[in-house]
Amino acid sequence: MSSQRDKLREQLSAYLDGELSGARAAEVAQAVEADAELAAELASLRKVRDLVGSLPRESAPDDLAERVLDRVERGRLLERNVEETGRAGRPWVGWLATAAVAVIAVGAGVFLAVKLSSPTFPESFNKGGNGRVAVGDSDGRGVGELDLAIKDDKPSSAPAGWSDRTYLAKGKPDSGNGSTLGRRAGGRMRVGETIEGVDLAGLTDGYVEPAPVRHFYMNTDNLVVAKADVERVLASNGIVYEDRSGLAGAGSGGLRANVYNRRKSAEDRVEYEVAVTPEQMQEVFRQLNSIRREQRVPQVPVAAEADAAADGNAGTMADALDEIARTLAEMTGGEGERRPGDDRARASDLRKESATADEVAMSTSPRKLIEQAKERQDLAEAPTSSAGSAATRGGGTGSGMAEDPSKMVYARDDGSAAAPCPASCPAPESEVHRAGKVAPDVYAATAPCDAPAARAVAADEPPFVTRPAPSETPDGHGGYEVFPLLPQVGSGESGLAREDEHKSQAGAPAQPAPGPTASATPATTCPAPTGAAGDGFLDFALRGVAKELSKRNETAAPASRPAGGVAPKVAQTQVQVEGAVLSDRIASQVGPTATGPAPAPATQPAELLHRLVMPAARQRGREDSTVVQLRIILNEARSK
Amino acid sequence: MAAQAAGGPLAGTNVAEWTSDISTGAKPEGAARPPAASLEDAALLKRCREGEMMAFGRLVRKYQDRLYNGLLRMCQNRDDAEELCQETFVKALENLGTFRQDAGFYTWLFRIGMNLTITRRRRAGRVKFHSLDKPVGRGDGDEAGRTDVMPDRSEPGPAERAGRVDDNRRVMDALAALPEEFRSAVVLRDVEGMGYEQISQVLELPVGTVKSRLYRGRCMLRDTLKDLME
Repeated sequence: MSSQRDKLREQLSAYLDGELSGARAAEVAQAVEADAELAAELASLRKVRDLVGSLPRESAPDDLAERVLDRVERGRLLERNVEETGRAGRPWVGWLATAAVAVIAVGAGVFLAVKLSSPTFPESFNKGGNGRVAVGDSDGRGVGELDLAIKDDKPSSAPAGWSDRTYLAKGKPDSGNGSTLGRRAGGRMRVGETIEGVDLAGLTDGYVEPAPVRHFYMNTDNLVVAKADVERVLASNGIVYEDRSGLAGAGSGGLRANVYNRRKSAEDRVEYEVAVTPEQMQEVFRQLNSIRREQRVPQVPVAAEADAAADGNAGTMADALDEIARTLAEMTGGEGERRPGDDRARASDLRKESATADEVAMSTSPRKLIEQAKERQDLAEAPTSSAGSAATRGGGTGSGMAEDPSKMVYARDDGSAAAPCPASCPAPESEVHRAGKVAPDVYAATAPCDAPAARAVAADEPPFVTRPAPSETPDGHGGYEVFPLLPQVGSGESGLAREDEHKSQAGAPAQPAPGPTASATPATTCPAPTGAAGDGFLDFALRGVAKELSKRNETAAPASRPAGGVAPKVAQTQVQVEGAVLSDRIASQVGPTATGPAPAPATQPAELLHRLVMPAARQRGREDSTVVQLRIILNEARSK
Repeated sequence: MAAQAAGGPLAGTNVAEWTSDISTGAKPEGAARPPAASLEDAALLKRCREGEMMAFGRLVRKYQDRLYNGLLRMCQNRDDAEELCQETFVKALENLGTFRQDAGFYTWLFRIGMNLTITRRRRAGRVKFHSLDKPVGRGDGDEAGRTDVMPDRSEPGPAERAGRVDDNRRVMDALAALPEEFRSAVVLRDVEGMGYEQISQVLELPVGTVKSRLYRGRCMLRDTLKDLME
């Protein structure tokens, strides 16, 4: 009886929830009716259920969806970069892990300051020793080890002229410190192949001249995620690391070819000591910059972010657009006619027309605040007048560095020479690209003429010069961009010491002179400057955005353009944007027509931006990216 | 259906509207027909798989409140609930290819969320649970969902409202004090309004076990909240 009753009691909860079958439920109902104790228990269970069920519901934070999408987006961008560097990546996997990099980086203001050391090796590299040296294949993977001894002093049998450094001896281990062959030799060592004239497979004695090796320092915040970012890129370039810091997550020590060390230089800093070839390092920096650029990691004080966050409306898509609108208005000569607030008000009205509240809410992102602050910083660093730029361009630097335009040739990524951009070209000049501020594909999409695609390489230039370390920048934050300049080897000057020179040149638009590999640009390849600078810029900006949009629209049909009503500049670039609609609308409102002089713009550029470009961007769900592209374009225009 | 009439599991509670588009244990009629929300979810999921992030954004916005509230009742900490919620969505997107739609998207989502909650608690103890003896504080995020408890708007009078707030706090404390396996069953049923079958899918347990845990969990709550039973 008791057992039967217990069974019935256990059914009460399910009975209460309507989860019993009809027969079973009827049985329980009958028992409850007959048994007051069971009825009381049922009532108490119902009361418990009601108490729990009536707990107030809480809603997720308003920006939760946006945060999730931000994480996903950042992860996706980072994943894409990893894939581009040749590492296998699965489309969705890894987002979660990599997203943390960006999230923490934004919060902490991660920076990478890169300094070029003196070409002479530091004392720590002069220790002799022996040990097993890992030998890697062409992909940087270890394939074997060699017993090598390193001696600091050249043997007496050495030919005249050999240095007293990097003496190698195979199979002569003795006690002492580990080999530093990798650091000295640089590059990847391959079994059976020679490095700098030394056949490792048949090595007995020999020298490796340190000439091709450069020694670099990189500093980053002492964050596991930031370090992981750097180390992943280094590893993808076949650069293994030797941990000297004892930090968690570091790799095992030991002897490696192509080595960098990591050590904790301060509580919040980690120093990477890298000895690789300049070519390798250039590739490392290119990839790091690419990642940072895609992530839009800010180079601004955290305080700026906090201040902006304190402003209740700051950081929204609206603010980003307003800023763009203001800048566009200023650049198109409207500042005399309108007060600074006018564009904001107009943009706000337009935004209300074109965007739903939901869309605006979805586009809120603290990252944009930081981008704004970054832009302000960039603006402060940009040349203040075209006259100054011209003077720099004409007078050269006099520093012996490779910025001298007479020595500059432009190269595409594939190494082929590109036609220089004539002075009349309204497009931003190459210094922006050399400064690493514009991704090659963006530039390729926006450049109206055969201008350099990715970077400029001087005929006799060393590979790069960097921004100052954080302590040297006005705001205390260093940049991570790597500049394709380098002090003279052997000068003993560090990149830091040359920073002033560099800064004076980095923003100066260098007008390329046709070099040995550069060809003269036919005038027809570059659109003639428009009468109003603003029109040219707007045209340029809209075309850039349009192309970016069209690239993402896989199904977009080629734009059809009505005869006689299309701006030639637009037609030249074969804009494909959301079908023909956007390009035609741009064409009808911007620039001269094919049949006559330029009509007065139907509306202000800022309005066009909001009315034409942004809705299309929203439709594609790529507001962030579009804003980023616009900002890049703005930066270019500002530096003109 | 007699049982449903007797129990009236969802009628009159604020759970009903939350569960209108998911399959609950009480399936009155047309249970075999996929609800409109499922069709909508399927369409959104298809677009997600094609890489359309806006579709995923819609799914996030659609389910974020429900997931957040459920996880909040599990961990009783607003910050943790938010973080878990984010992780859940990201993980869901990451594993979208493995979702075969034999269960509802929300069921699957909640399974991920519950697993993350449990795993996280076991691993790092970051999800904190409050003892009944511990005074409730404000300002560090741990109190979320307890001190901010607001009464229903229909509640009349400040005295009664204050009493209700106090009751809610006690209920949440009691819920937090439940062993995890019982709490999860109670939260899924009484907070989320899931049916037993759905709960069994989320917790990956047999329905009988769900039934047993729910009963025992409610009994524990009843004992803890004895003075509220009158």
